[in-house]
Amino acid sequence: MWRNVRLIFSKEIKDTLRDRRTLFIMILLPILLYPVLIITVTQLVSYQTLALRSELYKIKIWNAEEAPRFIELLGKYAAGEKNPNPDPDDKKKTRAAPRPFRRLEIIRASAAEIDTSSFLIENEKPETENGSETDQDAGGDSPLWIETKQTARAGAAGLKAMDLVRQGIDSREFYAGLYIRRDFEAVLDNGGNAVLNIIYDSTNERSKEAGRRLREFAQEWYIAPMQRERQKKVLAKAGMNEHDLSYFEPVETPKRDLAGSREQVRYFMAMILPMMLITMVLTGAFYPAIDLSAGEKERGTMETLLVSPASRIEIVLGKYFTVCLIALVTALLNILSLGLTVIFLASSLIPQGAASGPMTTIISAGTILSMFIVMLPLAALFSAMTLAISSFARSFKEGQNYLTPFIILVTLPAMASMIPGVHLTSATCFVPVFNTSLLFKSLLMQKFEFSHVFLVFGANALYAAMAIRWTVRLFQREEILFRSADDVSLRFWRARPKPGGLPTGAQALVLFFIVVTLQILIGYYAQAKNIFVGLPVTLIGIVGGSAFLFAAWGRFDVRRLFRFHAPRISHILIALAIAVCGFVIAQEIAFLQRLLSPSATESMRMLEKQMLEKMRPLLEHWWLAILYMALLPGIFEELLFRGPLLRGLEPGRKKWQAAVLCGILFGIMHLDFARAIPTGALGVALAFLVIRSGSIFPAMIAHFAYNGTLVGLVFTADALPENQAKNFESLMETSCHIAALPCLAAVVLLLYLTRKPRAVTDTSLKNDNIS
Amino acid sequence: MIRTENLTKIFPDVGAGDTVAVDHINLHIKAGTIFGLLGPNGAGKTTALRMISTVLRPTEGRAWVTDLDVTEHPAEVRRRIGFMSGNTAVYDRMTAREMVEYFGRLHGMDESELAKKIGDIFDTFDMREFENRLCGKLSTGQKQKVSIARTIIHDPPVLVFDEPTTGLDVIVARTMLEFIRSCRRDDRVVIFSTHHMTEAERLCDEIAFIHEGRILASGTLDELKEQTEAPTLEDVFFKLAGEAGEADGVA
Repeated sequence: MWRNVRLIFSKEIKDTLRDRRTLFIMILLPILLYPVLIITVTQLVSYQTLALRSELYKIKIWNAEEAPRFIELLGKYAAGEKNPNPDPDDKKKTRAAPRPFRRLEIIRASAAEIDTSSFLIENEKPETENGSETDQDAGGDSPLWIETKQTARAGAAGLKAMDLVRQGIDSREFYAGLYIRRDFEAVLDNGGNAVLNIIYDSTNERSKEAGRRLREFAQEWYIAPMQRERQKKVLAKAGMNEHDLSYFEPVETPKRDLAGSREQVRYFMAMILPMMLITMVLTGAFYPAIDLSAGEKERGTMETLLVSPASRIEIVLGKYFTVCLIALVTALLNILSLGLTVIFLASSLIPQGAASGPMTTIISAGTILSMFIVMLPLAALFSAMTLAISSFARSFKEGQNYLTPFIILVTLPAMASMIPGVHLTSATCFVPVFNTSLLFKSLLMQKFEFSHVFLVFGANALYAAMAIRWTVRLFQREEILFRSADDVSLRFWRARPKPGGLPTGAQALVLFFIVVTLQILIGYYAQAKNIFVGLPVTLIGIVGGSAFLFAAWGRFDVRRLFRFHAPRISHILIALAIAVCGFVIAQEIAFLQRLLSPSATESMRMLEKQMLEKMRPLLEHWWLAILYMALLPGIFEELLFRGPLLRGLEPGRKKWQAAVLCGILFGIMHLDFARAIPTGALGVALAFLVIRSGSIFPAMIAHFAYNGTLVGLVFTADALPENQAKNFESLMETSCHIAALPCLAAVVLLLYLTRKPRAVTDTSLKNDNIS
Repeated sequence: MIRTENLTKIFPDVGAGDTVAVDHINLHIKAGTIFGLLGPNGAGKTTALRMISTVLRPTEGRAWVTDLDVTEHPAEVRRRIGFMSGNTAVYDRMTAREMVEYFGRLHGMDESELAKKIGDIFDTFDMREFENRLCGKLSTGQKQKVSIARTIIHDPPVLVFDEPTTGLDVIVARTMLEFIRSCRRDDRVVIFSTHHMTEAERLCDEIAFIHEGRILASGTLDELKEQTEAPTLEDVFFKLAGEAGEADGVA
């Protein structure tokens, strides 16, 4: 066997290495494109930034005559002179930017531009309500307020000035405005407070830079010296000397971050790198997987291989190892190239190698090795999954279409490393992709537990083995291997089904997606507007309506499709029992969820509470709640899920498979992650009940009873006084712990007991069993 | 050499109902025979040949190739047949020589035997000038030759050709037909499907007509003409198909 696997593997590797597409993704992209792109872009950006900073900017000043000293100083600043009144405590001496970064050209505005009559109301101390950004500039004892951008305090003339600056920026006449109010320096000289309006647009790079220069000048050259002067005067009055200035700063808060720059870089990398690595392994698997399965079908070489003595398993394994190797190599090349590029950038662009030093010591060889080892089963999993999914496709293009959703699906949990505060627990070690992302993060942070490394490796290896098994089985299925490119009978779009038939799985899935989309687009909107209208719109209109429209479109036999058959009394009793037991189990599942990951569940509960808040009006009267929250869902959700969806999922599957799939869809549709598991489990049980009893009504009754119990519980808890409510809750919890397992056993037993519906004399039912 | 017993293939289809592609066919082909499987498109030729070549599993019935059951010993059967069809293309990114070598190795041939055999075949089919060129860069005729070389590299006693001349120009088609004819001399069994009546008329020792999955009639050309009192093979077919249609109508 291994001889053939080796033969196929080496042939596929050679074949893949001769494929330009794969080569491009695998080698050219990381080795050439990344460095070139990243370095060019960084250089362009820094060049552009430098260019912007060294440009000469025109600024316009209104009422310059009101502040002759200010204008004179500004002229010196723009000419690159030294600050005549530097801060004596400033160790660095010159905090202002070097000369080329200060150039400003001053345009004086003519008096006619602004109606000076509005000056009358100005130069009052601005009120400091609402904490606009002005407040930060306005120190308690600051003689000046710098007003920036569009603050409401500009006054009518100021607003006019803002309009003029906007026009000036738009016409590129000048980039920032300075609006000086009447008697500006006179007020200051008399010990009063004045307002200085610096107007610029922070979304315009040039205006932002011009504004920055003006603010820098105003603060360092004009305001700060004036502040020191006043402080000195106050001190002198109080009989203190200027060394006592520290009196005004009673507490010093120097920055003492335990994480040095190395730790910060490491933290940053631990956030970003895991996701990148995982996506790269997947990207590496993407093209060879499609090429070796769908691509071969499209080119017609698959059958050539199938008629050789190599067995299907040998063929799959040979191809599989190829995908695996290429995925790993691609990921490594990518990482290597990116790493080298970053190190190069850090050492060349950042002066004195501020970051390059730690960079090389951040990741130890041990970390890299352990990351590589953890990556192996992940690559194995991805390779098997991509190969399996793309084997459904008939052409390269179709393969890409099939794999794209998978990539999105993987990218989401891969981003786990970027969510702050999320850490690996023994439970999350079993969530594929999510576990690897978090483990990489802790490895990079060098804060990991060995048990987690083993658990993640083991879990991923297990999933990989399962995925490989699936892939091998797919390759043994004729209908998958022989879906050739010229076979264009796309099942779903092939006209309408014959009258009286039943839907296919594809049709059921499309129906499901339409319902979910409508629910999100219309249902939630309507519910937010008015819950009394929105809920019926969603449940009757969208959920139930879609089911019936679908039945009409497909000309299905409505009775068979929905299983509108009279139920037996025993089935109704079983349904009621399942509802009660299901309720207990759901409570227990919720409790276990809380136990396993308290923080996640807690935030989910918060979300749930918010959602419940929207339902609040329904809880005014018990009958409203029963009608809207139990009766409507009980009828219409069942119609859809245990009607056409379940019917579509049944053919070609075992009963339990159809029921589980139906439950998963049911869980997804509720779009509520905290309750996804209990809801899904309920969906499975109800689907089973329908299949077993041959009637949809027991499921409706069970669903109604289940939701009704929930509503009843809410009302009971609300009715009780606070202290008793607590007791009630803990009583419920304890009884759920005790009853959960027996209830589970009871549900399984009851479903097992729900044998053959009625006498098989009913012809429609006979058909059911045959189909 | 090749025998089938009630060989049947049903493709399940939930939406449109099951399709019976091959319906209880019985064939018996002796060594040294060129056997033609004739029928219009969609008659079930490809499915029948794929089952004989172990690519598809029969839904019902059995088939034997050189006394080996195709479902019980698929790998052994594949070692004994050379299969070629419009769907068995060549690898564009391998050279002609690499392609043939690859399949020789998959058939378990040792290197010295393989080199000798490749030499012989490449000489016979005049393939030396393009043996090191990538198949993707070859002409249709050259590709067809590579396919033939791939099919016979392991010297199989049974050759299965599914519409081997479809899509080929006259010259290449002739090479193909000459090759098939040469197989008779080597005492191989050739089973090939076609919808070209003239091709079958010129080449086949025995012919079976397949229509809607069923064998309408089989025998030598003369036997068939005699049975149906038709002058050409085409007339034989139309007569048989017509009768089958009527029979269906009555049923």
